[in-house]
Amino acid sequence: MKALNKLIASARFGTPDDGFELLETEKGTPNFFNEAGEKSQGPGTEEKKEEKVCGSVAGNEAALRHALRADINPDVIFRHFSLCGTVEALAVYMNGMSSASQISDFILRDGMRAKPPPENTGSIARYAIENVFCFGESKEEADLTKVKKAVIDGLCAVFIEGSPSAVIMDTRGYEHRAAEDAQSEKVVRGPQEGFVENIRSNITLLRRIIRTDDLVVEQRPSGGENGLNVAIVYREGVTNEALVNEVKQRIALLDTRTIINSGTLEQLTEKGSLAPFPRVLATERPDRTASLIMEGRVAVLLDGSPFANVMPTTLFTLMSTSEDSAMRRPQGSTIRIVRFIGAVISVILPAYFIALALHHQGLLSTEVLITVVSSRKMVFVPLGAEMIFLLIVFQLVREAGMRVPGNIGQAIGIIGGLILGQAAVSANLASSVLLIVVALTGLGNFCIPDYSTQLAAAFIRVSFVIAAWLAGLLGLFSAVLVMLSWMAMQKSYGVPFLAPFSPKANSKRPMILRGDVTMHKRGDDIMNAREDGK
Amino acid sequence: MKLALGRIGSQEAVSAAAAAMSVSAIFTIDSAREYSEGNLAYVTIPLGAAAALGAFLFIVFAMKRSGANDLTGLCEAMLGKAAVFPAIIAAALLVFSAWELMFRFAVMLNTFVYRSSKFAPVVVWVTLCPAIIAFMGFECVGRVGKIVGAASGVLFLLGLAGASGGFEAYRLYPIPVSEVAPVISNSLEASGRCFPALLALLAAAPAMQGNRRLRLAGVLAAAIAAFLGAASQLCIGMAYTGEDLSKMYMPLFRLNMVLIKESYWFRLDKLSLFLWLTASAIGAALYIYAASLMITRSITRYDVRPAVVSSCAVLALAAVIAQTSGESGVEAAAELVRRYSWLALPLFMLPALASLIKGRKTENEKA
Repeated sequence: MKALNKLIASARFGTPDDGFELLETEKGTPNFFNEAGEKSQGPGTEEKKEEKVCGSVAGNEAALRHALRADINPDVIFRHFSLCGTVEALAVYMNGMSSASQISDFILRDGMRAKPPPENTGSIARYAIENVFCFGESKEEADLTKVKKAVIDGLCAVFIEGSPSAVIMDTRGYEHRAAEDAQSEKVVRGPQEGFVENIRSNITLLRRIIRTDDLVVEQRPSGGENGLNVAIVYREGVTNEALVNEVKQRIALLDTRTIINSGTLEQLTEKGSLAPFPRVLATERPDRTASLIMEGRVAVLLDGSPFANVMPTTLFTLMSTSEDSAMRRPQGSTIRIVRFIGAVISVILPAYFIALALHHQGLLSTEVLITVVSSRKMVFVPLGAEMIFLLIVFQLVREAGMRVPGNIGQAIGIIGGLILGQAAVSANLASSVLLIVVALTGLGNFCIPDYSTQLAAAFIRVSFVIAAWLAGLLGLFSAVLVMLSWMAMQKSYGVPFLAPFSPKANSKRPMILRGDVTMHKRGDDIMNAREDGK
Repeated sequence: MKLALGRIGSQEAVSAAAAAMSVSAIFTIDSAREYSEGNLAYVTIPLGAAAALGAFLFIVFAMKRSGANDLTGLCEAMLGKAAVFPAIIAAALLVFSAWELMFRFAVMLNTFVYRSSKFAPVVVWVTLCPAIIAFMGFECVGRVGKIVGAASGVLFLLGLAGASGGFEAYRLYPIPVSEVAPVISNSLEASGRCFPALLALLAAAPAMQGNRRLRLAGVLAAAIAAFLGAASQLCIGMAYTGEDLSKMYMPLFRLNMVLIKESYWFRLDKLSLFLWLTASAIGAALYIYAASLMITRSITRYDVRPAVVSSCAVLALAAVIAQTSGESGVEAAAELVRRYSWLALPLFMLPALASLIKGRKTENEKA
């Protein structure tokens, strides 16, 4: 009996399905706020044990020198000066992360030249903020851990003798790339700007588009030991709080060595990492991110990454672009139809061709059959293996073209596509008909706007080819059904992947056809968001 | 735990049930018996669907009055621990319906498409899809039904319309009203083929979000199945005489293959077979899931998935045995169930009737 129980446990039968749900379930619809009806701060906001700033400059310096390994870290600067000519003070900042000119001009010079404070001024730190330092963003901080984190982030901390708190001023001035065109999501019509590596710039790009009082940007540690921050962006009162809390919880649970890019963050925060389809939309376009946030989604920005992770996402989100709404309705709808046809061709066509050519020649007309047979006359590789070989070559050319900079990459694509293809046909390694099929497949693949989805399509394509190779149309239809059923059961942060089509949701937004732009006033029901923001 | 059904909407429920009922009504006809008196099926399928719907609505009404969540609950309320027997009968009927679909399509594929292949690999491929869909749960059945159900129905009708060039009304003779007895007996058999889909809805009723939606799903599924069944049989009846039909194994496939051979569409006959197979996979998945759910709820109250796996394995094995051993016990038993499956209607209406009488008695006593 014990062995049976062990077997059942190992197969995970009988374990409760405790996945996060945003939509209606057997337990009913989740409340907009949590069950108690109170707005919680969400998980991951618990404070750690505080280490206080002491009144002695020397004591604080010693603590920070130890914490920041200043003896072997020459880029941590400890600059002693005399505040107002009377009080001993110490400015601590990170060389390169902070703007040296700002510190010289507005902290050291203003601090040294200021008049002595009158007696009974109360907090000297407060006095310095209000009367000495000319900084817009400055505050008192009594927690030494937070002071240390601020210094690492590029802020400048000033300790004043006798003051139990430090003055933190935003002097961040590190080098970063200016906002440029979005490289991976180019559009003809619409904004061209893309995110950059600086999280503050990215937040500004979003705030420039969403000028509402309900936009919240919560910044918190990403969970990697490298200490990068993430910004969780959403609309307070519109975005479902259960969703916001779920995002916060998943980020709060992270405890890993390194999180450098948003792709790693995406994988660490999702469940079921073997799934080929992405569960979050990675976009480098602020306008697209802003549009999705307005609908009630949550965006996560990671410092140092020019991409925003937007969740939840569905197949229809992954298949749309920001340009869709910029075009007129007929053009927009036509392009979307073409995109879906391209995606279907890219996934189905190679397998369908294999099934017909190997198992159901009767379905091909005589002319086509003769062409196929004559083109393969001298090819010695089995048809299925030839197809998989060509699909791999296609990925090879594509990968090489992407990794080589600039125009050389395009040249590699042309060389790979034309010369290599021609050479493969001449060498009887591949047939010309199959080259056409793979070329069409490649074109269809590029119709898919999202890069991760393109890669998922490549994975599915090869699976379908193998199924069709084994059992013809029966294999292909079985594989398509299995893939559809698997996709139907996938969820992205509680939202089914094929919603709002299956399951059907009360959504006025179009799925394949581009609807009237006035219809976009209402958000998707799948978000379970509040419409009026109240 | 996979005893949790999840929730599906009306469109998903209608799509899955309509797909299951339509393919069962259309593709599991025993040609020799059904067409022995001429083609009556375009009348008997709607009548059978209506009879099954009547029984379904009666049971739903009884469930509403007794406060039972599903069919198992209704039987338990009336029969106590003995409710396990009707549950087993229902599960057996559902499993048989799934087997019938999968077996028919496996034979069709083996006969018309994969002639040089052995039967067992075809069965394995045919069983694979329903098994995986049912394994993923009831929500998956509904969602996939929603994705492929409507498209399959439309393509099915287009296929029929494509064959319209060969239709002649005189082939419909003899007209069904001339003999009532075969109409009644064939309608009863048709009701036996239509009822399992509705039985599956009753078994998974809690997922339907209320009695009103359950009723709506049943009515729409029956209406769609009746329409598709009548349309297809009318087309077949106008294409072939009753005498020809009684000798044919799969007249619908031949309809596509023979009548339009001069057109380009001739080459899509096998493709249409795979489209029907898709709908039948949804239907079989619904049956398998519902059967596994009933067995699991009645006996073990544990996870549904082991029951799904074992049901599918048994089904595949039974199909192989039935095909390879000719007139075997499996085929004889199947023939018996085919003939008398309509008895399930009164069988499940009995506890419903009992619950209504009990409810009325209680009301009278209170009064």
